[in-house]
Amino acid sequence: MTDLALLLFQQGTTAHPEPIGIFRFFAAFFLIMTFYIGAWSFTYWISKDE
Amino acid sequence: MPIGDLSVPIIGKNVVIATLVQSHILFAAFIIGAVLIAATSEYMGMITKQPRYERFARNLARFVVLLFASGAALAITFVLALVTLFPLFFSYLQNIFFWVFLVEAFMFLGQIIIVYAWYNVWDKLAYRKSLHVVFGFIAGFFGLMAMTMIDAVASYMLTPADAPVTEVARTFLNQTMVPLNMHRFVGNFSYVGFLIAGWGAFRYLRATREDDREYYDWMGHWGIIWGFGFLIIQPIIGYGYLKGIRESAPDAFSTIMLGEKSWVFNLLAIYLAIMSIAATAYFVHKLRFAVVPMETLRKLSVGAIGFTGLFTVLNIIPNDASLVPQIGLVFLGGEDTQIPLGSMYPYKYIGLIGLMLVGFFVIALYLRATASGFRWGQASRWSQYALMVCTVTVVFTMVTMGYTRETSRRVDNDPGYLIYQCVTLDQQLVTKNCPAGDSLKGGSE
Repeated sequence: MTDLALLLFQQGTTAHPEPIGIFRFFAAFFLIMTFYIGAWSFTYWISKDE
Repeated sequence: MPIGDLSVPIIGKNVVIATLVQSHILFAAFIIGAVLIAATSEYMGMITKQPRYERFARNLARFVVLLFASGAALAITFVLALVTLFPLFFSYLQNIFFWVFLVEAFMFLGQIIIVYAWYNVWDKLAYRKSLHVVFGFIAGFFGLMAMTMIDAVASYMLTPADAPVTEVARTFLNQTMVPLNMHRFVGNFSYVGFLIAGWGAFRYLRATREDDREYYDWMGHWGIIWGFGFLIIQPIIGYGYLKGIRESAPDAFSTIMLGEKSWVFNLLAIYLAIMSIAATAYFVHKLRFAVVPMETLRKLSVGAIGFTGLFTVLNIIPNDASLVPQIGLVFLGGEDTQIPLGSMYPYKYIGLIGLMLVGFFVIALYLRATASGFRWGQASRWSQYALMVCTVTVVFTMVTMGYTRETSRRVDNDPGYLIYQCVTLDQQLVTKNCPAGDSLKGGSE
Protein backbone atom coordinates (compact mmCIF):
# COMPACT_ATOMS: atom_id res chain seq x y z
CA MET A 1 0.00 0.00 0.00
CA THR A 2 2.80 2.37 0.92
CA ASP A 3 4.62 1.43 -2.25
CA LEU A 4 1.50 2.12 -4.27
CA ALA A 5 1.02 5.50 -2.60
CA LEU A 6 4.65 6.39 -3.28
CA LEU A 7 4.23 5.30 -6.85
CA LEU A 8 1.16 7.45 -7.30
CA PHE A 9 2.73 10.52 -5.77
CA GLN A 10 6.01 10.40 -7.63
CA GLN A 11 6.66 12.80 -10.45
CA GLY A 12 6.72 11.27 -13.87
CA THR A 13 5.20 11.43 -17.29
CA THR A 14 1.92 10.38 -18.78
CA ALA A 15 1.74 7.48 -21.18
CA HIS A 16 5.16 6.28 -20.15
CA PRO A 17 5.43 2.49 -20.19
CA GLU A 18 5.37 2.23 -16.40
CA PRO A 19 2.43 1.69 -14.06
CA ILE A 20 2.27 5.38 -13.18
CA GLY A 21 1.98 6.32 -16.84
CA ILE A 22 -0.83 3.85 -17.47
CA PHE A 23 -2.64 5.06 -14.36
CA ARG A 24 -2.34 8.67 -15.50
CA PHE A 25 -3.47 7.85 -19.02
CA PHE A 26 -6.72 6.38 -17.74
CA ALA A 27 -7.07 9.07 -15.06
CA ALA A 28 -6.92 11.72 -17.79
CA PHE A 29 -9.42 9.83 -19.92
CA PHE A 30 -11.80 9.47 -16.99
CA LEU A 31 -11.52 13.17 -16.12
CA ILE A 32 -12.07 14.29 -19.72
CA MET A 33 -15.17 12.14 -20.04
CA THR A 34 -16.45 13.37 -16.66
CA PHE A 35 -16.05 17.03 -17.65
CA TYR A 36 -17.53 16.38 -21.08
CA ILE A 37 -20.57 14.41 -20.00
CA GLY A 38 -21.06 16.69 -17.00
CA ALA A 39 -21.15 19.86 -19.10
CA TRP A 40 -23.49 18.30 -21.68
CA SER A 41 -25.81 17.03 -18.99
CA PHE A 42 -25.85 20.38 -17.23
CA THR A 43 -26.60 22.22 -20.47
CA TYR A 44 -29.38 19.77 -21.28
CA TRP A 45 -30.81 20.15 -17.80
CA ILE A 46 -30.94 23.96 -17.92
CA SER A 47 -32.52 23.95 -21.37
CA LYS A 48 -35.01 21.09 -21.36
CA ASP A 49 -38.02 22.95 -19.93
CA GLU A 50 -38.07 25.59 -22.63
CA MET B 1 14.18 34.97 -8.44
CA PRO B 2 13.74 31.45 -9.90
CA ILE B 3 10.26 30.55 -11.06
CA GLY B 4 8.69 27.83 -8.93
CA ASP B 5 8.32 24.38 -10.41
CA LEU B 6 4.91 23.38 -9.12
CA SER B 7 3.79 19.79 -9.24
CA VAL B 8 0.38 18.19 -8.93
CA PRO B 9 0.11 15.12 -6.70
CA ILE B 10 -1.12 11.75 -7.98
CA ILE B 11 -2.14 12.70 -11.51
CA GLY B 12 0.83 14.96 -12.33
CA LYS B 13 0.68 18.32 -14.04
CA ASN B 14 0.66 16.96 -17.59
CA VAL B 15 -2.66 15.26 -16.93
CA VAL B 16 -4.11 18.54 -15.65
CA ILE B 17 -3.28 20.27 -18.92
CA ALA B 18 -4.39 17.29 -21.02
CA THR B 19 -7.72 17.07 -19.24
CA LEU B 20 -8.53 20.77 -19.51
CA VAL B 21 -7.40 21.11 -23.13
CA GLN B 22 -9.08 17.96 -24.41
CA SER B 23 -12.33 18.86 -22.69
CA HIS B 24 -12.11 22.40 -24.03
CA ILE B 25 -11.43 21.22 -27.58
CA LEU B 26 -14.46 18.94 -27.50
CA PHE B 27 -16.64 21.98 -26.79
CA ALA B 28 -14.75 24.47 -28.95
CA ALA B 29 -14.91 22.14 -31.96
CA PHE B 30 -18.61 21.63 -31.34
CA ILE B 31 -19.31 25.35 -31.16
CA ILE B 32 -17.38 26.16 -34.35
CA GLY B 33 -18.95 23.33 -36.32
CA ALA B 34 -22.43 23.79 -34.87
CA VAL B 35 -22.58 27.50 -35.66
CA LEU B 36 -21.68 26.84 -39.30
CA ILE B 37 -24.07 23.91 -39.61
CA ALA B 38 -26.86 25.92 -37.96
CA ALA B 39 -26.26 28.88 -40.26
CA THR B 40 -26.25 26.58 -43.29
CA SER B 41 -29.45 24.94 -42.08
CA GLU B 42 -31.09 28.31 -41.59
CA TYR B 43 -30.11 29.18 -45.15
CA MET B 44 -31.51 25.84 -46.36
CA GLY B 45 -34.75 26.66 -44.56
CA MET B 46 -34.82 30.03 -46.25
CA ILE B 47 -34.49 28.64 -49.76
CA THR B 48 -36.48 25.39 -49.41
CA LYS B 49 -39.24 26.85 -47.16
CA GLN B 50 -39.15 23.65 -45.09
CA PRO B 51 -39.81 24.62 -41.45
CA ARG B 52 -37.74 21.76 -40.00
CA TYR B 53 -34.50 23.50 -41.05
CA GLU B 54 -35.53 26.65 -39.20
CA ARG B 55 -36.54 24.70 -36.10
CA PHE B 56 -33.26 22.79 -36.17
CA ALA B 57 -31.09 25.89 -36.74
CA ARG B 58 -32.73 27.84 -33.96
CA ASN B 59 -32.52 25.01 -31.43
CA LEU B 60 -28.89 24.36 -32.30
CA ALA B 61 -28.07 28.08 -31.97
CA ARG B 62 -29.73 28.12 -28.54
CA PHE B 63 -27.73 25.11 -27.47
CA VAL B 64 -24.52 26.73 -28.66
CA VAL B 65 -25.30 29.84 -26.62
CA LEU B 66 -25.91 27.71 -23.52
CA LEU B 67 -22.86 25.53 -24.08
CA PHE B 68 -20.53 28.44 -24.76
CA ALA B 69 -19.96 29.00 -21.05
CA SER B 70 -18.59 25.49 -20.51
CA GLY B 71 -16.15 25.77 -23.40
CA ALA B 72 -15.00 29.24 -22.39
CA ALA B 73 -14.63 28.32 -18.71
CA LEU B 74 -12.41 25.38 -19.63
CA ALA B 75 -10.30 27.63 -21.89
CA ILE B 76 -9.69 30.16 -19.14
CA THR B 77 -8.92 27.41 -16.62
CA PHE B 78 -6.51 25.85 -19.07
CA VAL B 79 -4.60 29.10 -19.62
CA LEU B 80 -4.45 29.62 -15.85
CA ALA B 81 -3.14 26.08 -15.38
CA LEU B 82 -0.58 26.55 -18.14
CA VAL B 83 0.73 29.81 -16.65
CA THR B 84 0.91 28.23 -13.21
CA LEU B 85 2.33 24.82 -14.06
CA PHE B 86 4.46 25.62 -17.13
CA PRO B 87 5.46 29.28 -16.66
CA LEU B 88 8.73 29.11 -18.61
CA PHE B 89 7.14 27.28 -21.51
CA PHE B 90 4.27 29.78 -21.57
CA SER B 91 6.81 32.62 -21.64
CA TYR B 92 8.49 31.10 -24.68
CA LEU B 93 5.13 30.67 -26.38
CA GLN B 94 4.24 34.28 -25.61
CA ASN B 95 7.55 35.48 -27.02
CA ILE B 96 7.00 33.59 -30.25
CA PHE B 97 3.25 33.99 -30.65
CA PHE B 98 2.26 37.15 -28.78
CA TRP B 99 0.54 38.59 -31.85
CA VAL B 100 -1.19 35.29 -32.59
CA PHE B 101 -2.60 35.07 -29.08
CA LEU B 102 -3.72 38.68 -29.37
CA VAL B 103 -5.59 38.02 -32.61
CA GLU B 104 -7.02 34.84 -31.12
CA ALA B 105 -8.37 36.79 -28.13
CA PHE B 106 -10.12 39.28 -30.39
CA MET B 107 -11.52 36.53 -32.62
CA PHE B 108 -12.89 34.86 -29.52
CA LEU B 109 -14.44 38.15 -28.44
CA GLY B 110 -15.95 38.65 -31.89
CA GLN B 111 -17.35 35.12 -31.83
CA ILE B 112 -19.03 35.68 -28.47
CA ILE B 113 -20.59 38.98 -29.52
CA ILE B 114 -21.88 37.73 -32.87
CA VAL B 115 -23.13 34.33 -31.63
CA TYR B 116 -25.18 35.96 -28.90
CA ALA B 117 -26.42 38.68 -31.25
CA TRP B 118 -27.29 36.07 -33.87
CA TYR B 119 -29.47 34.12 -31.48
CA ASN B 120 -31.05 37.16 -29.84
CA VAL B 121 -32.19 38.88 -33.04
CA TRP B 122 -33.75 35.74 -34.51
CA ASP B 123 -37.29 37.14 -34.31
CA LYS B 124 -36.29 40.72 -34.92
CA LEU B 125 -34.71 39.79 -38.26
CA ALA B 126 -37.41 37.29 -39.23
CA TYR B 127 -38.21 39.35 -42.31
CA ARG B 128 -34.58 40.01 -43.16
CA LYS B 129 -33.53 36.40 -43.19
CA SER B 130 -30.54 36.86 -45.49
CA LEU B 131 -29.00 39.33 -43.08
CA HIS B 132 -29.65 36.98 -40.19
CA VAL B 133 -27.98 34.08 -41.99
CA VAL B 134 -24.96 36.31 -42.60
CA PHE B 135 -24.78 36.90 -38.83
CA GLY B 136 -24.46 33.14 -38.33
CA PHE B 137 -21.74 32.77 -40.93
CA ILE B 138 -19.80 35.70 -39.47
CA ALA B 139 -19.96 34.03 -36.05
CA GLY B 140 -18.65 30.86 -37.67
CA PHE B 141 -15.90 32.83 -39.41
CA PHE B 142 -14.71 34.30 -36.11
CA GLY B 143 -14.64 30.80 -34.61
CA LEU B 144 -12.63 29.48 -37.55
CA MET B 145 -10.14 32.34 -37.25
CA ALA B 146 -9.70 31.66 -33.53
CA MET B 147 -9.08 28.00 -34.37
CA THR B 148 -6.59 29.00 -37.08
CA MET B 149 -4.59 31.07 -34.60
CA ILE B 150 -4.34 28.30 -32.04
CA ASP B 151 -3.53 25.80 -34.79
CA ALA B 152 -0.46 27.89 -35.64
CA VAL B 153 0.71 27.45 -32.05
CA ALA B 154 -0.19 23.75 -31.84
CA SER B 155 1.45 22.90 -35.16
CA TYR B 156 4.57 24.88 -34.29
CA MET B 157 4.95 22.83 -31.10
CA LEU B 158 5.30 19.69 -33.25
CA THR B 159 7.01 21.10 -36.34
CA PRO B 160 8.82 24.33 -35.52
CA ALA B 161 9.76 26.27 -38.63
CA ASP B 162 13.33 26.03 -39.87
CA ALA B 163 13.79 29.77 -39.33
CA PRO B 164 14.31 32.24 -36.50
CA VAL B 165 11.10 33.01 -34.65
CA THR B 166 11.39 36.61 -35.81
CA GLU B 167 10.44 35.43 -39.29
CA VAL B 168 6.76 35.82 -38.66
CA ALA B 169 5.31 34.25 -41.80
CA ARG B 170 7.44 31.10 -41.65
CA THR B 171 6.75 30.71 -37.96
CA PHE B 172 3.01 31.12 -38.42
CA LEU B 173 2.85 29.02 -41.59
CA ASN B 174 5.09 26.29 -40.25
CA GLN B 175 5.19 22.95 -42.07
CA THR B 176 2.03 21.40 -40.60
CA MET B 177 -0.05 24.48 -39.90
CA VAL B 178 -2.18 24.33 -43.06
CA PRO B 179 -2.83 20.55 -43.00
CA LEU B 180 -3.66 20.67 -39.29
CA ASN B 181 -6.06 23.53 -39.87
CA MET B 182 -7.73 21.70 -42.76
CA HIS B 183 -7.91 18.51 -40.72
CA ARG B 184 -9.65 20.32 -37.88
CA PHE B 185 -11.90 22.36 -40.17
CA VAL B 186 -13.28 19.23 -41.79
CA GLY B 187 -13.22 17.33 -38.49
CA ASN B 188 -15.43 19.93 -36.81
CA PHE B 189 -18.23 19.32 -39.30
CA SER B 190 -17.90 15.56 -39.05
CA TYR B 191 -17.80 15.59 -35.25
CA VAL B 192 -20.80 17.89 -34.89
CA GLY B 193 -22.69 16.00 -37.58
CA PHE B 194 -22.34 12.71 -35.73
CA LEU B 195 -23.30 14.36 -32.43
CA ILE B 196 -26.43 15.81 -34.04
CA ALA B 197 -27.25 12.40 -35.53
CA GLY B 198 -26.89 10.72 -32.13
CA TRP B 199 -28.97 13.36 -30.42
CA GLY B 200 -31.67 13.07 -33.07
CA ALA B 201 -31.65 9.28 -32.60
CA PHE B 202 -31.93 9.58 -28.84
CA ARG B 203 -34.86 11.98 -29.10
CA TYR B 204 -36.49 9.90 -31.83
CA LEU B 205 -36.53 6.86 -29.57
CA ARG B 206 -38.13 8.89 -26.78
CA ALA B 207 -40.58 10.82 -28.95
CA THR B 208 -44.28 10.10 -28.47
CA ARG B 209 -45.84 12.58 -30.88
CA GLU B 210 -45.89 11.80 -34.58
CA ASP B 211 -44.54 15.22 -35.63
CA ASP B 212 -41.64 14.83 -33.20
CA ARG B 213 -40.85 11.37 -34.55
CA GLU B 214 -40.72 12.78 -38.06
CA TYR B 215 -38.58 15.72 -37.02
CA TYR B 216 -36.04 13.69 -35.04
CA ASP B 217 -35.87 11.03 -37.72
CA TRP B 218 -34.99 13.80 -40.17
CA MET B 219 -32.48 15.25 -37.68
CA GLY B 220 -30.61 11.93 -37.51
CA HIS B 221 -30.47 11.86 -41.32
CA TRP B 222 -29.29 15.50 -41.53
CA GLY B 223 -26.59 14.88 -38.91
CA ILE B 224 -25.24 11.73 -40.54
CA ILE B 225 -24.96 13.49 -43.91
CA TRP B 226 -22.65 16.05 -42.30
CA GLY B 227 -20.89 13.49 -40.14
CA PHE B 228 -20.19 10.81 -42.73
CA GLY B 229 -19.88 13.25 -45.64
CA PHE B 230 -16.97 15.03 -44.01
CA LEU B 231 -15.53 11.90 -42.40
CA ILE B 232 -14.69 10.37 -45.76
CA ILE B 233 -12.57 13.41 -46.67
CA GLN B 234 -10.50 13.06 -43.50
CA PRO B 235 -8.16 10.20 -44.52
CA ILE B 236 -6.67 12.17 -47.42
CA ILE B 237 -6.24 15.35 -45.36
CA GLY B 238 -4.88 13.28 -42.48
CA TYR B 239 -2.41 11.71 -44.89
CA GLY B 240 -1.24 15.19 -45.91
CA TYR B 241 -0.85 16.12 -42.26
CA LEU B 242 1.12 12.96 -41.48
CA LYS B 243 3.31 13.58 -44.53
CA GLY B 244 4.17 16.99 -43.08
CA ILE B 245 5.02 15.42 -39.72
CA ARG B 246 7.15 12.74 -41.40
CA GLU B 247 9.19 15.33 -43.26
CA SER B 248 9.65 17.78 -40.39
CA ALA B 249 9.58 15.60 -37.28
CA PRO B 250 10.53 12.09 -38.47
CA ASP B 251 11.10 10.68 -34.99
CA ALA B 252 7.68 11.86 -33.87
CA PHE B 253 6.18 10.31 -36.99
CA SER B 254 7.89 6.99 -36.31
CA THR B 255 6.64 6.99 -32.73
CA ILE B 256 2.98 7.29 -33.66
CA MET B 257 3.00 5.34 -36.92
CA LEU B 258 5.55 2.59 -36.44
CA GLY B 259 6.83 2.73 -32.89
CA GLU B 260 5.54 2.24 -29.37
CA LYS B 261 2.50 4.47 -29.84
CA SER B 262 1.38 3.07 -33.19
CA TRP B 263 -1.56 1.47 -31.42
CA VAL B 264 -3.26 4.87 -31.54
CA PHE B 265 -3.63 4.45 -35.29
CA ASN B 266 -4.92 0.91 -34.86
CA LEU B 267 -7.52 2.43 -32.55
CA LEU B 268 -8.30 5.07 -35.16
CA ALA B 269 -8.75 2.36 -37.80
CA ILE B 270 -11.20 0.56 -35.50
CA TYR B 271 -13.14 3.80 -34.92
CA LEU B 272 -13.23 4.47 -38.66
CA ALA B 273 -14.49 0.95 -39.24
CA ILE B 274 -17.27 1.34 -36.68
CA MET B 275 -18.42 4.72 -38.01
CA SER B 276 -18.23 3.69 -41.68
CA ILE B 277 -20.11 0.42 -41.24
CA ALA B 278 -22.72 1.93 -38.90
CA ALA B 279 -23.33 4.91 -41.22
CA THR B 280 -23.52 2.73 -44.34
CA ALA B 281 -25.90 0.35 -42.59
CA TYR B 282 -28.06 3.34 -41.66
CA PHE B 283 -28.11 4.51 -45.28
CA VAL B 284 -29.13 1.04 -46.49
CA HIS B 285 -31.94 0.97 -43.95
CA LYS B 286 -33.09 4.48 -44.81
CA LEU B 287 -33.28 3.72 -48.52
CA ARG B 288 -36.23 1.45 -47.75
CA PHE B 289 -38.22 4.57 -46.89
CA ALA B 290 -37.49 6.57 -50.01
CA VAL B 291 -40.63 8.20 -51.39
CA VAL B 292 -39.72 6.93 -54.84
CA PRO B 293 -38.71 3.22 -54.47
CA MET B 294 -34.98 2.83 -55.18
CA GLU B 295 -34.34 -0.86 -54.95
CA THR B 296 -31.29 -0.75 -57.23
CA LEU B 297 -29.63 1.96 -55.16
CA ARG B 298 -30.37 -0.02 -52.05
CA LYS B 299 -28.81 -3.19 -53.46
CA LEU B 300 -25.75 -1.22 -54.49
CA SER B 301 -25.50 0.15 -50.95
CA VAL B 302 -25.72 -3.36 -49.51
CA GLY B 303 -22.74 -4.27 -51.70
CA ALA B 304 -20.98 -1.15 -50.43
CA ILE B 305 -21.29 -2.43 -46.84
CA GLY B 306 -19.36 -5.51 -47.89
CA PHE B 307 -16.59 -3.43 -49.45
CA THR B 308 -16.52 -1.11 -46.44
CA GLY B 309 -16.02 -4.15 -44.20
CA LEU B 310 -13.27 -5.48 -46.45
CA PHE B 311 -11.33 -2.20 -46.55
CA THR B 312 -11.71 -1.53 -42.84
CA VAL B 313 -10.29 -4.98 -42.07
CA LEU B 314 -7.22 -4.06 -44.13
CA ASN B 315 -6.85 -0.89 -42.05
CA ILE B 316 -7.24 -2.66 -38.72
CA ILE B 317 -4.67 -5.45 -39.19
CA PRO B 318 -1.62 -4.39 -37.13
CA ASN B 319 1.85 -4.27 -38.67
CA ASP B 320 3.47 -6.51 -36.06
CA ALA B 321 2.63 -8.47 -32.92
CA SER B 322 3.64 -5.68 -30.54
CA LEU B 323 0.15 -4.29 -30.10
CA VAL B 324 0.23 -2.08 -27.01
CA PRO B 325 3.63 -2.51 -25.36
CA GLN B 326 2.72 -0.07 -22.56
CA ILE B 327 0.27 -2.59 -21.08
CA GLY B 328 2.05 -5.76 -22.15
CA LEU B 329 -0.05 -6.61 -25.20
CA VAL B 330 2.90 -8.14 -27.05
CA PHE B 331 2.65 -11.54 -28.73
CA LEU B 332 4.84 -13.95 -30.67
CA GLY B 333 8.08 -12.02 -30.44
CA GLY B 334 6.52 -8.56 -30.71
CA GLU B 335 8.07 -6.30 -33.32
CA ASP B 336 10.00 -9.19 -34.89
CA THR B 337 6.79 -10.88 -36.00
CA GLN B 338 5.32 -9.16 -39.05
CA ILE B 339 1.62 -9.83 -39.57
CA PRO B 340 0.50 -10.64 -43.15
CA LEU B 341 -1.50 -7.82 -44.81
CA GLY B 342 -0.52 -5.50 -41.96
CA SER B 343 2.13 -3.33 -43.58
CA MET B 344 1.48 0.32 -44.35
CA TYR B 345 2.45 -0.05 -48.00
CA PRO B 346 0.46 -1.13 -49.91
CA TYR B 347 -2.30 -2.54 -47.69
CA LYS B 348 -3.13 0.46 -45.50
CA TYR B 349 -3.12 2.73 -48.52
CA ILE B 350 -5.44 0.34 -50.35
CA GLY B 351 -7.65 0.22 -47.27
CA LEU B 352 -7.85 3.99 -46.80
CA ILE B 353 -8.31 4.86 -50.47
CA GLY B 354 -10.86 2.07 -50.87
CA LEU B 355 -12.76 3.26 -47.81
CA MET B 356 -12.91 6.78 -49.20
CA LEU B 357 -14.06 5.67 -52.66
CA VAL B 358 -16.77 3.42 -51.24
CA GLY B 359 -17.77 6.23 -48.87
CA PHE B 360 -18.16 8.69 -51.75
CA PHE B 361 -20.13 6.09 -53.68
CA VAL B 362 -22.49 5.38 -50.80
CA ILE B 363 -23.16 8.99 -49.91
CA ALA B 364 -23.70 9.85 -53.57
CA LEU B 365 -26.37 7.12 -53.73
CA TYR B 366 -27.91 8.36 -50.50
CA LEU B 367 -27.98 11.99 -51.62
CA ARG B 368 -29.60 10.86 -54.87
CA ALA B 369 -32.38 9.25 -52.81
CA THR B 370 -32.54 12.30 -50.53
CA ALA B 371 -33.35 14.48 -53.52
CA SER B 372 -36.65 12.67 -53.99
CA GLY B 373 -37.38 12.53 -50.25
CA PHE B 374 -38.00 9.99 -47.49
CA ARG B 375 -41.02 8.99 -45.45
CA TRP B 376 -40.03 10.30 -42.02
CA GLY B 377 -40.88 8.82 -38.65
CA GLN B 378 -40.71 5.17 -39.69
CA ALA B 379 -37.07 4.35 -38.98
CA SER B 380 -36.37 1.24 -36.92
CA ARG B 381 -34.79 1.30 -33.48
CA TRP B 382 -31.57 -0.35 -34.55
CA SER B 383 -30.96 2.29 -37.21
CA GLN B 384 -31.08 4.87 -34.42
CA TYR B 385 -28.69 2.78 -32.33
CA ALA B 386 -26.30 2.88 -35.31
CA LEU B 387 -26.38 6.67 -35.18
CA MET B 388 -25.74 6.66 -31.44
CA VAL B 389 -22.80 4.30 -31.88
CA CYS B 390 -21.33 6.78 -34.37
CA THR B 391 -21.74 9.57 -31.81
CA VAL B 392 -19.85 7.75 -29.05
CA THR B 393 -17.17 6.63 -31.49
CA VAL B 394 -16.54 10.11 -32.88
CA VAL B 395 -15.91 11.45 -29.36
CA PHE B 396 -13.36 8.68 -28.75
CA THR B 397 -11.79 9.50 -32.12
CA MET B 398 -11.37 13.16 -31.19
CA VAL B 399 -9.79 12.29 -27.85
CA THR B 400 -7.48 9.67 -29.37
CA MET B 401 -6.31 11.97 -32.14
CA GLY B 402 -5.65 14.82 -29.70
CA TYR B 403 -3.61 12.46 -27.57
CA THR B 404 -1.74 11.25 -30.64
CA ARG B 405 -0.57 14.69 -31.70
CA GLU B 406 0.55 15.64 -28.23
CA THR B 407 2.25 12.37 -27.34
CA SER B 408 4.18 12.21 -30.61
CA ARG B 409 6.56 14.89 -29.32
CA ARG B 410 7.64 12.61 -26.52
CA VAL B 411 9.30 10.17 -28.92
CA ASP B 412 11.33 8.02 -26.48
CA ASN B 413 10.93 10.41 -23.52
CA ASP B 414 14.66 11.06 -23.64
CA PRO B 415 13.79 13.87 -23.44
CA GLY B 416 10.19 14.48 -24.48
CA TYR B 417 9.48 17.90 -25.93
CA LEU B 418 6.95 20.67 -25.44
CA ILE B 419 8.27 22.35 -28.59
CA TYR B 420 9.82 19.64 -30.69
CA GLN B 421 13.61 19.64 -30.31
CA CYS B 422 13.50 23.14 -28.79
CA VAL B 423 11.86 23.06 -25.34
CA THR B 424 11.89 19.88 -23.25
CA LEU B 425 9.07 18.57 -21.06
CA ASP B 426 10.80 20.05 -18.02
CA GLN B 427 10.79 23.43 -19.78
CA GLN B 428 14.51 23.53 -20.62
CA LEU B 429 15.54 25.35 -23.76
CA VAL B 430 17.76 23.28 -26.06
CA THR B 431 19.22 24.89 -29.12
CA LYS B 432 21.44 22.15 -30.54
CA ASN B 433 18.91 20.60 -32.97
CA CYS B 434 16.20 23.23 -32.64
CA PRO B 435 15.12 24.32 -36.15
CA ALA B 436 14.67 27.87 -34.87
CA GLY B 437 18.22 27.87 -33.51
CA ASP B 438 18.77 30.04 -30.47
CA SER B 439 16.18 32.58 -31.54
CA LEU B 440 13.77 31.27 -28.89
CA LYS B 441 15.97 32.88 -26.28
CA GLY B 442 14.92 36.28 -27.55
CA GLY B 443 17.28 39.01 -26.40
CA SER B 444 18.20 37.29 -23.14
CA GLU B 445 21.37 35.38 -22.39
